[in-house]
Amino acid sequence: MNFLSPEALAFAVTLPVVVVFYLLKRRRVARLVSSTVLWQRFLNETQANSPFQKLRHNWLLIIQLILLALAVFALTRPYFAGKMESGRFLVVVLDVSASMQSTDVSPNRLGQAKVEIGKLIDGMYDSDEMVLILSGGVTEVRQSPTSAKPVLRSALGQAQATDSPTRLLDAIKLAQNLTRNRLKAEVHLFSDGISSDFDTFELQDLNLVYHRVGESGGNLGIVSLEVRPHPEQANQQAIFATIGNASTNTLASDVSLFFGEELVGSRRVSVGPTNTASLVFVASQQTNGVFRMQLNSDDALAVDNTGSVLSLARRDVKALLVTSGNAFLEKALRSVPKLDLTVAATLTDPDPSADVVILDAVQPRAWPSGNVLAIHTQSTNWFRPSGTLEAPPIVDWKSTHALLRFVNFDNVQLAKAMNATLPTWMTPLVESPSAPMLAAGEHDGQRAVWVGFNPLDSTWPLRVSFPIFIANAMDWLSPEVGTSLRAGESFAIRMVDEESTVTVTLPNGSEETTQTTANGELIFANTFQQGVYRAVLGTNEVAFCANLLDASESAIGPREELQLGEYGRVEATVQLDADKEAWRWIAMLCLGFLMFEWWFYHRRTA
Amino acid sequence: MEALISPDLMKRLEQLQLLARRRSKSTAKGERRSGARGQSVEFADYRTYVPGDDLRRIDWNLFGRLERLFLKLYEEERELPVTIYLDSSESMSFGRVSKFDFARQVAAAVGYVALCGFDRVTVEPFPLADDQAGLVGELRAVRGRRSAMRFFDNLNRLKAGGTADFNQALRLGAMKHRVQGVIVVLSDFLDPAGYEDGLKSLASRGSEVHAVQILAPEELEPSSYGDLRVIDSETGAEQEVTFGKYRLKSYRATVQNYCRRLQEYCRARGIRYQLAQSDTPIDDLLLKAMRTGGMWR
Repeated sequence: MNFLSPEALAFAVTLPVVVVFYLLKRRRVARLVSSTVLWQRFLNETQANSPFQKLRHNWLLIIQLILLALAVFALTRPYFAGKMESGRFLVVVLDVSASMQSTDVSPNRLGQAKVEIGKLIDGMYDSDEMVLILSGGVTEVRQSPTSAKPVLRSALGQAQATDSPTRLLDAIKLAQNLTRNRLKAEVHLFSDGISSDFDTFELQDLNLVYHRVGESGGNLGIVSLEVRPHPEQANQQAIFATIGNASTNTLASDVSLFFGEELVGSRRVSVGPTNTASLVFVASQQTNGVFRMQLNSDDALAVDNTGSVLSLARRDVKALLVTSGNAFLEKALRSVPKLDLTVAATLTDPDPSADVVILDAVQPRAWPSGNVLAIHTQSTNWFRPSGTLEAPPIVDWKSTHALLRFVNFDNVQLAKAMNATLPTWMTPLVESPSAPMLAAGEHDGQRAVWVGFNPLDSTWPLRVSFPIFIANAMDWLSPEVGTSLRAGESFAIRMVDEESTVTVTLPNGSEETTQTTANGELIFANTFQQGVYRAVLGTNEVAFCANLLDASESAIGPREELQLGEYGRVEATVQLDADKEAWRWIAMLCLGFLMFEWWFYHRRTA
Repeated sequence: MEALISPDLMKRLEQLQLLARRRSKSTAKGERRSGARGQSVEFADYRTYVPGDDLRRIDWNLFGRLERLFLKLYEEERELPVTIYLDSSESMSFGRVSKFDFARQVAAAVGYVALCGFDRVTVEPFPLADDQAGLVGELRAVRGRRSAMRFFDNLNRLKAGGTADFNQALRLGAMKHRVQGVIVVLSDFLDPAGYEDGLKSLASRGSEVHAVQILAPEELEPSSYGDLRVIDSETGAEQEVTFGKYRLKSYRATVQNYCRRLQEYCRARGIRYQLAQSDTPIDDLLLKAMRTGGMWR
């Protein structure tokens, strides 16, 4: 025999209490009477004087103790292993995204959802099973299928809200997989319904119950924050921010920008209903640091009222141009701001100190180890040339890629180009009908841009798109470390060349130790808190920021229904039908009443 | 000092006569019929004249018809010894109306009825305090109605106190009774050692025994509630008790059982039993309850 609630054995302490009641010696009032003969006859059953004599042959006490012991025994919920019809299979998906921190309901949406799930757990029958899935930036199965209510309550109690956006789709898909081929399966989603990734999901036969949490949607939040070099003032940084208001009222607030602890500026911003307002702050920056924006709004969701972005002080990018002579290219490179260009005829050192190496129609003896812009160059390791194409037309280019931003090939003609087969890690960006003309990719931490024709054999240097492409290429090949990410996303950076231990300090001050990969890359996934993270490896320190910055997450108005795919629709269920067991309360009442009865009886009886 | 019996009650008591189921065997003259032959107005029998008999007692009318001499015999009237055992222990002093005061009133009434009937009255208080030894002598063998006032006065001077041994007192008293008479026991019968031996000793002597149990209202229905330590006034024995109104019913049942057992014990031995509450009007007890109980008529 086992017990479902062994902690109820603690009530056994009431057993000695009953005995103590018997042994209590009470203060009595002396009364002189004519004779005690009648009293003695009346009380002949309570003639004992010593405490333990009172307990002898006291059937009432024994019955009370047996009753109390049985009550305690019942509270432990003993059970025998047996066979019975399978019960319901409940999959509970609890949204732990940032919007669940909204305080429009008390204590917050997550707290209310926990209460509702607690009721669902209370209403479970012994044969029911439940799975608890937490859905935030990532989906986590917090509790595998079980019927043990204490285990479920414990798992539920440990659920914490994250600062990350909602990714409910993964959780719903997981729930769908878990409930497949199961009878009496139910999926209960406790969320405010703020998720934008349901478009591709088909409900099919999923028994999904949506428990809407939350009431109102008044909230002002920072939905984007970015630091860029000032386009006109080289020694200034421009901080772009967007404040979103998803409510139907105009909201206003003060916005303050800090660099470290120093106030950069403060403004009053008023945002119209379901609108956004853009802000630009300009600040000079001499050292690396964190710009922190603070929205002084007393709204329901606090997490989107702050945003941090790490900004590195602007420095010159060192570029080495290896060329036998190309005036157009050299001029285009020299027009790129903050670029320290060195021109050489040959590449003597395969590991130069330059950030970017531009190989212009030269074949180096050793391929450089850094980022490379290879123009009309072949590498036996990467490209396998198979001849020359004569006047290939450019038929397509990917203007969405960062390299081809504002770059147009409509009026570019080529005289000839290389016909090469690209490695799989490279993405063709400009293509002719038979071969790629321009490609880019990243391999083993090294970025490479390959141009399959000599610009001098084309009209491209005469077009405005050429210097734009060169500028884009220099930006792309000298990237700043990705120091700003969404909460919940993984942060990756190559810190050293070998496996090492890195200590990461989280925004709340706690520290976490992790190992880099074999090639020294730090991959850190515990970024569910918003704020600044600092990874330290010896004297090497890397900082990065995690922010919510999600317009849909800041629009905290709970959704009355979920649109799943093209046709699926699930309306919110407010009331939950659940059979709540009341035996425990009755049993505890019985215990209390028993204790009271015992005390009352003992008070009146000698 | 308050009179034990009111004049009005005395007048009504004068009309009563103690009932004795047996003829008196006393040697002293009185007004009770006895088995002895003597001088009285009650004809008893005839017997043949023998020389030496008193010629004044010959029935001459019978001689005229039968020409034989017969003497006319009359019943001798003797006195009836009435003994009152009065419990004067400490426990009798309790009650809003003291049980002892009530018992003295009953004793006075019984004594007065006896005195009016020319019977000999003796009061035996127990226990006997040292300073009352002389007083007890005054209360023994009292005769005649004229002695009534002194009898009352002596009764009034009795005090309750001390620890009584009920059985011992009655056993010793029974040994003194050589002549059968009427015995009245006035007590609460609450002796820890019981009452059985004492009553049995009295009843075995052939006397007509009346047991009057006197209880105070507080004993029949206690008014003290809560966690108590009751102390016996006589023995000093203590008893812890928690008492409340909710237990009154069972307490009453206990008292009733106690009294019923006493009554049954008395009935089994030919003892007339009477229960009296000390706050009962004395007239009701004497003129109604004790009359119907066979004490007097």
